[in-house]
Amino acid sequence: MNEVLGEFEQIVLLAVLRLGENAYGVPIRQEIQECTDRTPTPGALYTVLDRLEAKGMVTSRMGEATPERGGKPKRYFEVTKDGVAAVTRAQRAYQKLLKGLKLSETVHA
Amino acid sequence: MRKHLFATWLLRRSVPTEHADAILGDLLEVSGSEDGPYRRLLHSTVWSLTRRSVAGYAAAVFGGGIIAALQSQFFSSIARHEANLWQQSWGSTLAFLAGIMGLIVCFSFVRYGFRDRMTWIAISCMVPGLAAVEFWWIPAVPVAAGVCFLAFAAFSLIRKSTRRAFLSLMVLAALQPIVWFGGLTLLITPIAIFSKHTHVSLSVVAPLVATWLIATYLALVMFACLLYMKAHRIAAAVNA
Repeated sequence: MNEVLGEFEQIVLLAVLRLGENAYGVPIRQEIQECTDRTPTPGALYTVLDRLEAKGMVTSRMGEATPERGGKPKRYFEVTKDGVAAVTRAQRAYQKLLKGLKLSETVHA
Repeated sequence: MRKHLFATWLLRRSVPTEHADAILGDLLEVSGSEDGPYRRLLHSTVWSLTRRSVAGYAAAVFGGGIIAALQSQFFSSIARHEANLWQQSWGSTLAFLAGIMGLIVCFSFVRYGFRDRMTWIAISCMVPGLAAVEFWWIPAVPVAAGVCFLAFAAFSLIRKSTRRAFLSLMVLAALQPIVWFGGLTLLITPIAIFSKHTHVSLSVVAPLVATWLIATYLALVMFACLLYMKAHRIAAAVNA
């Protein structure tokens, strides 16, 4: 399976990988905010997580419920082998494109 | 904190219940006990998650309706004069199924996108159906359309990645006539009873029939779309 990942999909996959076992909605959003200075809306984040799950790049499992969550369970995410392979492929492509390129010197306009 | 029942209900209709609960828990955790931020987050999340479905329903109602109306009009204008009884009855049934596929194509194109596997399957089922219906008077066309459909069905069933999606769609297509004729029977029967007292006045009966037909059509569209979403989830889960 050679799925092409969008930019935000890569960001979400990397955030889930960074968080390890604590990857559920709230910390994923915080991690993206801290690392990219972008604050994704919860709707956009859940849409992408569902799409990644449909593509087989993440799996999810239901976790524990806590009082501050109104007794609602957490949904933990984990990146699959396919997800790791896809994000690695995408990052390699970026690296190849950047190789030998000095961005500070290539401003034409 | 208020419960925001409608937004919560809508969220639970658009994603599986346990996922919806997890989303609601996340929103509560982020917003603390304040109702304002929670309400804003909840409404923006519900809008993000449901807008494509809502647009899909709208596309199915209008796009599907237009396709069905145009092709049935085209079919009936020729069939009325030249087709025999067998052609009329089977042509009408096939026109109905192709119309349902058109409705599903409009929904899935907006909801899941053009590159989606089930959108392509729905298109591949609709095109031979429409060709066979519209060009029934050229014998080679229905035969070629039938062969194309059978080849496509065999191809979809052999491939593991499309098997479940194709079967889901076929079950869905088979269910639609039951829903349609069931709906008509349930809705038109009261009209028939009612019309004993009002048969002299067409101005009373006609708007009632029109209203009931429109209501049946909308119910059919909603049911088709809901079933399609369910089929899509099953296919995606199995193929993943």
